[in-house]
Amino acid sequence: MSILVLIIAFELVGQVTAIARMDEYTLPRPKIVRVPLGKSSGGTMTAHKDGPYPDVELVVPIAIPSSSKVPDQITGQSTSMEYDRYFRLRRDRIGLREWSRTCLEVQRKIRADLTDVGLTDQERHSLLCGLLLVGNEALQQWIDISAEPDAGSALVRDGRPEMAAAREGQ
Amino acid sequence: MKANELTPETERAMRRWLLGHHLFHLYLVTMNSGMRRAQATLRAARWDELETEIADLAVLYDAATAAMKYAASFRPESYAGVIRPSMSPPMLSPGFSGQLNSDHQVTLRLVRSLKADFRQARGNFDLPETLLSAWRSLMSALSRNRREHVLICAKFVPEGTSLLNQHFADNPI
Repeated sequence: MSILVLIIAFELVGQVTAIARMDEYTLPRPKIVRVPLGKSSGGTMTAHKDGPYPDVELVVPIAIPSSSKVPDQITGQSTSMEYDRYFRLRRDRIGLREWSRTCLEVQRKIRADLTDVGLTDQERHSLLCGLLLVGNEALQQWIDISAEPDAGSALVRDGRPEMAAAREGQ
Repeated sequence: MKANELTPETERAMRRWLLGHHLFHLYLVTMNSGMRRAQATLRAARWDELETEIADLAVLYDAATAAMKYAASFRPESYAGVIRPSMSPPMLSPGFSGQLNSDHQVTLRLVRSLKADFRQARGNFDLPETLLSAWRSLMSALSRNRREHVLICAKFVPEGTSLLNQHFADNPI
């Protein structure tokens, strides 16, 4: 099987994983109920049963650039999202566990293809020293988040203990 | 483009092009964390710690340069025949460019900020010679990175027309 097929297969697996995760964390859709407006308007508006989210349906959504600046000629028509898609980068709020997995995976693939790449000994040395530092940084983070169990377990973020949130992301 | 349309050589070129960029992004993300930390250390005037952090950043910058070379370790014919078309219309939108790399944009912003802080610290404090030496090493690594990038571009596009510049030439304002 060619490597591109492998890459495509990997990509498909990644997408399925992402979709599964999204489904897992999708909040239940709140029920929409019709609530009478005041006497003067005589109409109705939609509101969520469990929260004040009135949607009077008077205006349609507008497009806003995700970069928060006016689109210009500098980027042509392509975007950073297209860059990420092309280079197979899935940008997400990942945690330390997934980041560590990414580091190991890339490291493994690079190690398997370091001969016959036309790098000088110095460049190969630089590349490997860089990988060491990438690994060191991740390890240091693991040490840091596990160093203070008392403080960590007491903190809660998004309904989960802070340490778990750091490990898993989101 | 289907995998079975690629020769073994172009397949290897495409794999290195993508994997080399993955490696490049690992370094960029780690550098971005390191630069934020170095900036905090500098503002706290902890010079010994800063020296180590600056030295590590220089190593990471050289590693990023090596990753660029790894990503481009194939023949110019493969770039012209497969890689460049894969980044051009109709495969992608016009104007696709490395400037769309959002992690690198953060890196450049942090480098500018760190340089400004270091310049100010050098004016206000008598910094240790070892720290100044580490800083010079980082600046040299930055220069090597820029120089190597120019060489890689020249290897693949000798006339020096990037896809972004080509897009501008085809779509004058």
